[in-house]
Amino acid sequence: MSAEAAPALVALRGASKSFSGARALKAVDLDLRRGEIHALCGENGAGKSTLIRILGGATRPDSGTIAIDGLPVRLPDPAAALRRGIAVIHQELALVDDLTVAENLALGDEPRRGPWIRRRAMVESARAKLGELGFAIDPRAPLGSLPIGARQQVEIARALRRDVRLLVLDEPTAALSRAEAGRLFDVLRDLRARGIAILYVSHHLDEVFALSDRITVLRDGARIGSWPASETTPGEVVARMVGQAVDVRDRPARRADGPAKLRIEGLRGGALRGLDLEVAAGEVVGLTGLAGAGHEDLASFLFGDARPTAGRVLWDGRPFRPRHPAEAARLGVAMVPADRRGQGLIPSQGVLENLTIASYADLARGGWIRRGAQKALARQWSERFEVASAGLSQKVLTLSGGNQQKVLLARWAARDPDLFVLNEPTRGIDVKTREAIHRWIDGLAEAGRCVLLITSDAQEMTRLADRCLILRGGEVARTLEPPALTEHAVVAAVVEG
Amino acid sequence: MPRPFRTVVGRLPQILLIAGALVLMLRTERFFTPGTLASILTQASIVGVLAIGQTFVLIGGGFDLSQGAALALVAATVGRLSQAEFGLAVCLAAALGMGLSLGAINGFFVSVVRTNPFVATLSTLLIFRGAAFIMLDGRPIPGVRVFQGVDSGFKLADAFVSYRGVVFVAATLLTWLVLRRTVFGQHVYALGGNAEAARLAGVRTTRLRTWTFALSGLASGLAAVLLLGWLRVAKSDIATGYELDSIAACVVGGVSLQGGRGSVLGAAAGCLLLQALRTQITMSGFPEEYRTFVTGLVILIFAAADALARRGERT
Repeated sequence: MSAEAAPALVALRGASKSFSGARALKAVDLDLRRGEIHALCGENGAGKSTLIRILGGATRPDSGTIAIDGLPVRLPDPAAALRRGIAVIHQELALVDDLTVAENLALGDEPRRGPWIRRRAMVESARAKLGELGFAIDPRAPLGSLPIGARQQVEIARALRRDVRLLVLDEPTAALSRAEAGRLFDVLRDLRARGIAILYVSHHLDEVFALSDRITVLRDGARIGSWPASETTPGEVVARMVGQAVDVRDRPARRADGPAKLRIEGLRGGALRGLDLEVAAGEVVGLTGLAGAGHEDLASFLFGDARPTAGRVLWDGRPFRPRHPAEAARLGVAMVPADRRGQGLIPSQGVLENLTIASYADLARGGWIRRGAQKALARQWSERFEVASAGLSQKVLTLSGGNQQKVLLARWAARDPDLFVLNEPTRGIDVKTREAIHRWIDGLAEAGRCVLLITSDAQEMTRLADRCLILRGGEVARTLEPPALTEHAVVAAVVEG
Repeated sequence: MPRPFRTVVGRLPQILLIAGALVLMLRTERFFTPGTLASILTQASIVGVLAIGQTFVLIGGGFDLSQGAALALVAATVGRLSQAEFGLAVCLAAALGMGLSLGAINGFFVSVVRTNPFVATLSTLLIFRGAAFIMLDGRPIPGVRVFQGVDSGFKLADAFVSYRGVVFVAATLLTWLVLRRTVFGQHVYALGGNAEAARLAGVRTTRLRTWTFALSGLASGLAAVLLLGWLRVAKSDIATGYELDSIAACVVGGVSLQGGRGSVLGAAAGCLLLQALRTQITMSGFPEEYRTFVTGLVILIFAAADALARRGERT
C-alpha cells in the first residue's frame, strides 16, 4: 500500500472461508476508500459472492479481520453490518411487490404514533428521499407496477435511508435495460461525490471501466491485485481473471444461404405490432431492444407459451402454431429462458433430472424411464458441456451460475432441435463459460440449426449474430448486418431514437 | 456449526423415525411380535392408502383436505348400490371411478380455475360430506358386505396378515415405482419443485396437476373399499378427519409441504409409526385421551426436525 493512498474506510485483512472443505476465499486483503467506486472482477467461483457476504455480515469468515476507520469490527449478521453503515444490494431485490414505494422505503422503521402508522409522514419522507436522489418515482405507486430499473432505485433509496458509508452492488445491471443502467451509473457517481464508498461487482468490463476508480481481480479465491482503472485495460483484466490468455477471436465468417426455414409475417400480440422475420438454416439472427420492445414476446409465441393475436409463423413453409411449450418442443423448438432460477431450473432436483427433463419422452418405454439410458444421456451431455459437478445427483442450485446455465443448454441440446431460441444465454456468467457457450452456438449454426439470439449484450450480439434486429415499440427499428454490425452500432441503435 | 453435528441435524427426521420405531419395539416384548406388527399394518392400511394419494398431491405442490369426505361419499354410493343388489365388480368399479372423478373435480378447480388448493379442497370437503349425508338421508346403511373379502387374510409366521394390509403395501410399492421410475412421476417432482420451469421444459403442468388430485381421489375410493370391508356400514360421518391423519403421516415421513421433495416410502413409514404409537399407548394402559395429545406432539417434533434439517441445508 503506497503512503499517499487515502486511508481505507473499510479494510479487510486475510479473510479466508471454506465451505465443506473447498476454500472459497484465501487470505484476501481489500481496502475500500471513501468516495471511490471500486470494481470487483472475477469469474464465477472466484470468491466474489463470498467476499460480499462477509462484508454484508451474511457469512462469517473462518479467519481474517475487518476494520472500519481503522477500528476492528465484527459483523456477525446483516443487521450488524447495516449498523456499521454497510449496505448490500443483491441481484434479487429484497422488496415487497404488493406494498407501495413509500411502504417499502419505511418497512421495519415506519413513522408511528402509538400503534398507528403516520401515513402522510411516511409518504412525505419517501418523496423527500426519492427527490434528493433525483428518482422520479411516485411514492404511492405499488412497487409491483414499476419497471425493474425503478424498483432497483427504490432498493438503493431504501439502503440509503440509514447512514450508509459503504454500498455494495452485486451485478446491478443484470436485469436493467441500457437506459436504466445509464441512470444507475449517474446515481452511483453522485453517491461517490458525497463520499460514499462503493463496491461494484460486475461481469461487464465496459461498465467496470466506464464507472470505477479502482479494480480488484479475484481468481480461485485469491486476490490477484488491485489497479487504478486508468492504468489498466480490459484485456489485462480479462487475462488476470482467467489466468491465461483467452482466445478473443473475431466472429467466424458464416454464410447461410438457402431458403428461409422460419418465416414470420406480420406478427402481432403482446408488445409486437407487426413483425416480419426470416431465419435460414445455419443462421444466427439476433434480436434486441429495450425492455418491453417485443423481443421477449416473440420468444413466448415461438415456444407456445403465449399466442399471437395476428400474423403467422411458417416453419418449412407450413403454418406453425404451438399451443403449449410441450407441443413446441415436440415440433423441434428449444427455448432457454433468461430467468435461470425462476423459469429454468428445478431446485429440488439434481443435475440428472434437470438435464434430462425435456428428453423423458425419448428415454421412456411405455411411460417408464429407462434409468441406464437417462444416466448415459446426462453423463454424455454434462461431459460435452463440461459441467463441473460432484456427480449427477448434485442439486442444481449448488452449482455455480455458469454450470447451471450449461445444464439448461445441455437439456435442450440433447434433444437436437431445429430452432433454438436463446434468451440472454450468458447473462451473469464467467468469461470462460461465456466463450464456451459462444463456441457452442457457432457449432449449432455450422450444423444447420436456426438460432434466434435474444441478448442485451452488444458484444455478444456482434460476436454471434449474422443479422441483428433492433426492436422498438414492437416494430423493427433497424436491421444491422456485417460489416455495419458493430458493438457501437448496436448500442447506438438501441438507445437512440 | 461443526460438521458432524450438522450431518446429524440434517438427518434428524430419519433418525427420529428409526429411534421412535426402536423405542416402541423395545418397550414391551409383547409389542415386538409378528401378530402385533401385522395388526398395526392392518390398522394403518386405510389412512396409509390415503397418505399414498396425499403424497402425489403434496409432491406436486398441492394439498388435499377432501380425502375423508370423498371416502364417505364413495362409501355412501356403494351402500346404495349394494342395497340395489349390485355385485362386487360394479361396486368396485363405482368406488374407484367415483373416487377418481371426485379427485378430478378438485384438480379442475386447482389447476384449471386456479383456486387455492386449501380453499378448493376445504369447499369440496363440505360438499362431499354433505352429499353423503343427503344420499343416505342421514341414516346409516348396515350390512354392506360387498367388500368384506378384504377383511380376511392369511397366516404368515403365526401372524394374521389381512388383505387390507397387503393392498396398502402393494399400493405403496407401486406408487414408489411410479414416482421414481415413470415420466409421470418425475414430472410430478418437477411440478412441485418449480412449476414454471417444468412447464417451459415441456411438461403439461395443468393436466399433470389435475392428475395428482385425481389420484388422491382414487386413493380415497380405494380407502373406502377397505373401510367398508371392515365396518360393513355406510355412514355419512365415517373417516372424519382422516385427511389430517394422512397429511400427518406424510409430514412424519418427510414429504415436503412445499412440494418437490419426499418419498411415498417415507409417508408409509410415517403412517405405520403413528399407528404403532397409538397401539403402544393403548397397550401400555394409558387412557384413550392420551393418544390424540401424543400424536400431535409427535407430528410437531417431526415438523420441527424437518425445519431444522432444512436450515442446515441452506447455510
